[in-house]
Amino acid sequence: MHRVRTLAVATLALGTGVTLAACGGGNASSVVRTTQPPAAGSTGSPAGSGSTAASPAGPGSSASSGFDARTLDQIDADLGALDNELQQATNDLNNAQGDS
Amino acid sequence: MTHAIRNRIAAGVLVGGVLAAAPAAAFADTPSTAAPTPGTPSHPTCSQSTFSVAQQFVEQQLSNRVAVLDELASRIGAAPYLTASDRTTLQGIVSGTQSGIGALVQKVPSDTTCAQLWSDARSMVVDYRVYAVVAPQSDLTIVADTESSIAARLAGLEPQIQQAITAAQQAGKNTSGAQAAFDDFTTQVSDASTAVGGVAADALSKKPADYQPGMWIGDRTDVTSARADLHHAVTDARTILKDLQG
Repeated sequence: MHRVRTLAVATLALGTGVTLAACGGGNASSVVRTTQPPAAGSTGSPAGSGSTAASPAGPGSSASSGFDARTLDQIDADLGALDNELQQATNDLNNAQGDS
Repeated sequence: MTHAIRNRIAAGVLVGGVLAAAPAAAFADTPSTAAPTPGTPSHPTCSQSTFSVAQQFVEQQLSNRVAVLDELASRIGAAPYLTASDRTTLQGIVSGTQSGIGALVQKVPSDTTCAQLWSDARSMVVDYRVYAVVAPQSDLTIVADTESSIAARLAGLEPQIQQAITAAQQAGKNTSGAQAAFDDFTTQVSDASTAVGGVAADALSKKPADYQPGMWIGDRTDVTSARADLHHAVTDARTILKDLQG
């Protein structure tokens, strides 16, 4: 019986620990306000991005909108994709077979 | 796209080589007044003896265009930052072009005279301008909408960045570097937005009949300029972030 009680306490402690971890902590001292950017590379409107303005880019826009490294990484990734599109445009213009 | 480019290069070689004289003349966008009158006997490479070769050439050219259009349709459907209206417009353009080229794909194998073949080859080029108009207008619209989206997101960060700088300043931090970077950031974002502002609308307004050499130079210059501005803006933002966190 004592063993069962110990197990129950351990389970409770573990659950509490998991809950605390899930709530997140730390980085409160950061000068830069952090928000809750979605996973990098995701698309779609920001869902519940809270304190930041919704992305004005409309449907299909990337979701992260806080001023933090993750947002900038996401924008960098989009700039990389943009560079590819621009290269595609250049290729198409250069291979336009004259006027056809 | 690699295969499409390969096709185009191959087609270009053909145009420049084997059948340069006849279909290439039809492909050349000379005004209609300069095009030979169908039925006249002056088709140097489309004669009774070369007709089947010329016909195969035109069929290959049509096939290449079908491949390019399929790929454009795929890219337009998948482009994440195309606005809904621009996507619809582009899909309409590509779909209409696919229909027209598809009709020629059906018709050309049944052509029996050089005049018919000439007419169809000319239609393939002049009526649809797959390479010279449809592909560039699709590319440039995708690029422009992507840039507009990125510029809008960066502009959306401006209040937050200013707030972060102010908070750091109030906390006694030297924010002169961050503020200078922010000033440049706002300039770059504004410049990008201005540069790309009318590109999509301009590109989408173009029709095959509007074709003229160099018609895309302005739009291409604008999107290239906006791209550089956006890269600078992100570099500025990283500088600010580093300064405030340092």
